Amino acid sequence: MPPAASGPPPPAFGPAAVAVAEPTGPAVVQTDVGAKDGLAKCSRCGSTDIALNIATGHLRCNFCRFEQASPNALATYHLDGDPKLLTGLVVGSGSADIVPSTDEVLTFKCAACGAEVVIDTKSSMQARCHWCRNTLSMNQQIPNGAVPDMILPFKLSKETAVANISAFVGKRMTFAHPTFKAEFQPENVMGVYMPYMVVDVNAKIRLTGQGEHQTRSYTEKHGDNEERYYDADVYDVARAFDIYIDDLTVESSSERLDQTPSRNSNNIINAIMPFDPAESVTYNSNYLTGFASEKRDTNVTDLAPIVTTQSQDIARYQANNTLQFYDRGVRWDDEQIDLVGQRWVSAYLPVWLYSYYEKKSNGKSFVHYVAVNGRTGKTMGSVPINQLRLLLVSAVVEIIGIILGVIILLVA
Amino acid sequence: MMPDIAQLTNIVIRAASDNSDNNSGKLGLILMLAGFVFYGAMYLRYRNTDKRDHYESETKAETANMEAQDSFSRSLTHLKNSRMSGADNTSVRGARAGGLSSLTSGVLPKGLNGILPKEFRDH
Repeated sequence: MPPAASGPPPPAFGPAAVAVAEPTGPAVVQTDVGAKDGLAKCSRCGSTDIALNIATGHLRCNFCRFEQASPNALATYHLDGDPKLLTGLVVGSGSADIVPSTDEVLTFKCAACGAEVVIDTKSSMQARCHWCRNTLSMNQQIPNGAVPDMILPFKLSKETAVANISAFVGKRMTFAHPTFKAEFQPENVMGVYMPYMVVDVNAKIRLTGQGEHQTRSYTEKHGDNEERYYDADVYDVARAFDIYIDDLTVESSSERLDQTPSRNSNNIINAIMPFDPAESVTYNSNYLTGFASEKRDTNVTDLAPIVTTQSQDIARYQANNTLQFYDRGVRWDDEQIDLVGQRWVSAYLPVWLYSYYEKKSNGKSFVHYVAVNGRTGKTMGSVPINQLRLLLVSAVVEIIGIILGVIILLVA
Repeated sequence: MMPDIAQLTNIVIRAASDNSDNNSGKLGLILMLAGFVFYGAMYLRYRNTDKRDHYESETKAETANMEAQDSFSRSLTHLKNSRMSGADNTSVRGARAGGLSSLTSGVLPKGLNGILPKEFRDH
């Protein structure tokens, strides 16, 4: 309903309905209860050769084929509560601050043969004992960001990912760089668990500004030209509301947070979101068997400004549902967000990643990604361009455009 | 491919027509930029530098206790633009990538940068 242009002034906003909780330190939810490092054996045959069966989403023993489902992480650790009820700062223990001096390379004693086995947590959470061939896993959380609160298993098979990448690149071959075309091998795609923070937010929002509603549109003749003009009413506009955000997902690797197109193609990995983090299961290193992983290297405090700004963006979009009357737009002059509650959970999310290293003629290099969401199949990519061919064709198009443009101008 | 071309065409049309009626003369001017538009559309189609996660609309969110205040301030006449100056109710500030601004980050010739609407220019 359009606002009245006259009449008694509407009531001003009252005080906030709910007092904003002052954070006194995060409430930590332990998410590695019962987790053990070392040999993780099949409960039926005792083998340590266990991996994800993508078809079912369960862990399967590669020796006796016994399958076991992992419980839903958010439900298990009671991290799935209604965001409306959130107060203060709640974090999973796997989201705890990284202690810089914590070792990345850890040594485990193989419980089967006694040999010492090294796991480099920077790139892997498992290692095979070089003596008895058992697999050792790291499941306990230490403050180096390696073990998250939860993991979202791959749902999309490698064959489907290869088909998606082939189709995506196949539609972009005309101006693709010839070296890329010669070297493109989609079967080299790699499954990677990327680190993310999944955040729930309970916030109070206040927006104040001005909006414009068009009242008239008309044309005036100036010589041979007709110009269009508009009349509009200006309103002082304010909105105050509570917002509950569920599963806002942000990258927690500093390398992936840098999404500058001139330097990297990390925006491609960003573009395949969203995931369905609510389906994540409790962390178990066996889910990583056969896949690569990247370690989290940022803390909640590093990511908080991004989450706050993105929460404001979401709030602004939600407010638009009440602003249809202002068909010329609204300019917010003041925006306030009071965070009543936040819940941070670290997660490994699945990405099929094809990367191509392009060595440019000027000596610089650039890594192009074609990424497939390991859950939904959403595909995005960066394909190296044959600049010479594209410039030549663009020049031809430009010449034709100029000729047509001149003809039209002369006729007009 | 089509959305990219449509977006670019929209930019050129907005820049060239300045929200006035399209006429043959302006169509001619737009055609003179066809090569630049083609290059930009192909660049975005292959490199996808404008793509990003649309969290602002795709993230699950719910609002409650909405309080609204709308009071008439004044009337404006004879405005040239169809959009309010400085309107930002659909702007996104938390994205670390994407948007059409990536099109102009050292990709297109500087000459074209000058004719783009303000929000798409290099800063």
